[in-house]
Amino acid sequence: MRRRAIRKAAGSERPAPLLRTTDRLVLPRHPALHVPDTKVALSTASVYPESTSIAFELAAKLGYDGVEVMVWNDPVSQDLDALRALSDKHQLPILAVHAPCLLITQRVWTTDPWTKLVRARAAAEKLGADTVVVHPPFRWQRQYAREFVRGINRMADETEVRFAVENMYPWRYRDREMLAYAPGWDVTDEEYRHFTIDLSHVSTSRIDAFEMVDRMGARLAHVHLADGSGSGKDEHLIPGRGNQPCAELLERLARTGFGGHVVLEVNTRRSGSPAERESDLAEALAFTRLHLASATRVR
Amino acid sequence: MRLGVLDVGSNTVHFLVVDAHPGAAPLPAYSHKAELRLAELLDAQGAISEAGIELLIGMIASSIRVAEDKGVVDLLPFATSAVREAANGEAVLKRVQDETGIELQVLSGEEEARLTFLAVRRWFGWSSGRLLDLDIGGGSLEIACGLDEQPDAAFSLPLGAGRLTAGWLPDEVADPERLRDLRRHIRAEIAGVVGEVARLGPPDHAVATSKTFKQLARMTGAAPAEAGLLVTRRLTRSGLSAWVPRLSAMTVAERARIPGVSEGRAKQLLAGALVADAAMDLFGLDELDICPWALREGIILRRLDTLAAQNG
Repeated sequence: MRRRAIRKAAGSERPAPLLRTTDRLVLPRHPALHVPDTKVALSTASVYPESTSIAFELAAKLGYDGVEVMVWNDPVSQDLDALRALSDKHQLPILAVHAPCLLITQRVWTTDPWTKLVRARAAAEKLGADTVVVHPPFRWQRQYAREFVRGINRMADETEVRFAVENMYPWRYRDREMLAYAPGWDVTDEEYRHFTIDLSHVSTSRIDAFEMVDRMGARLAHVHLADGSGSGKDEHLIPGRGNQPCAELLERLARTGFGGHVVLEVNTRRSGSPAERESDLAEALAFTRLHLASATRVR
Repeated sequence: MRLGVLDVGSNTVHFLVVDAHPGAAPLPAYSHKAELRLAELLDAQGAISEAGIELLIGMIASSIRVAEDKGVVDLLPFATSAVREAANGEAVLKRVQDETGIELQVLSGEEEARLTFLAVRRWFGWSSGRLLDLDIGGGSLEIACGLDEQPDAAFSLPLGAGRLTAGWLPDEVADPERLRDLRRHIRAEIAGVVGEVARLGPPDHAVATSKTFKQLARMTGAAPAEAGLLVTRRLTRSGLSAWVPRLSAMTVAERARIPGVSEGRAKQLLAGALVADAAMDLFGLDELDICPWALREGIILRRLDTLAAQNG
């Protein structure tokens, strides 16, 4: 695209207004299949109870495009030099960093929630990741919860890294529901700049995935792909094994030229053996690649 | 055959070079455009200012040069709401003709709606059944509905996003009182024609054209322009209505940061969203498919039809 300014002499002393035009050669496009540039990454949490370094090894072996590092109790996941070394060794980029804001990671790095985010951002910048995944605060973190929306948007102003706030779910025990997050688990109620959608959490919330995706609109920046069957537990099944619209979401992302990453964050604790875990993660990647494409002509 | 369509709109003056033949889909070859926002350059009397006229003439002169460079054999110059409704419209047309030799054809609002409808019908085809098209321009909102290539009903209302912004929402942040007045005004205007369209029966396919609708769809997650013309883009009422209160609270600068919203359009986005929301609500439409063809294509297609008729 080329811009040019043309000044036309008119009148005598007064300069003519500046005309700015945009010129563009329109090239015809003929692709029959649209495959977006979206990268498919493996969350290091997907190999639990195996270690972060096993996650890198498997992701490289199976052909994932990159890794999302879940910062948690594994010391390697907290150590930027160790992560950098793994990334170099396996020639696999770190595309995202999941901040340690889970219930089980309250004491990782530091106990101060804002310091966690500052460190996560620094880690992302240093490791070349463009996204930090963040959960909304727990209700009992009162001060943090009160300042969260404003604070996270202010932090986003200071960096190229995207803070993608993830949708959560109401906690349930028998017939009781507990609201554990503040502001709430439905992150689309707040003015966040970027969102992560997690389909396993959608399933646990018993809401419609596409209605949430609609509300996120162009601010949807990151995807945690996993399936769910609507049980009260947060299942993180291999995509295709539950009843969430995993395939339909991927097709929609392809159709809309999604610019973020798709990260497989699945539970393989019950895979049985290392060989079965590997086959589960291979299946998850194959499912994602198959559906992350759209015919250009279908309605 | 290379045609040049010179579209003097209320926001943009767009000169599009198109390879067109009877029986073929027009294929755009070169685009030359300038955002003049004539609808916002009106003086106190509602006339296009001298600065605006000079910019317009400069843009038309540069378009003629582009036409020569690109081998255009036939020019189709036309103007819509901004010139049509300017207090000095006649004088502007005369100045343009004297200085550039170009005779701008001024389309009435209804013609605008009819030609846009023709383009939408050719794009989606007969399988769309009864089509309803909405188009939010800089100066006016066009509505057309029908079963054929000519709509059975066509209306133009003075609800263009540029016009409403200049008249009602001139500030960085919208004043809540003014916003409510504007909302009421928009809904009253649209409600006045809903019956005329409803009596034709419910549409089988509801469609939207115009840059404003494209940006609203993009804002709510539709594919960006780079994905090409053939991907399906849809604006849902649920997606849009979630955005209206958000946009109402944003400054113009904040709106410009939304993906898909151009800096020049950020100011008009709120008024455009209010019109789209009101129209979807009052016509009872849950979703609108975005059609990439609109008025310019309608004008080309009509020109090709008359050529074919002369040669046949």
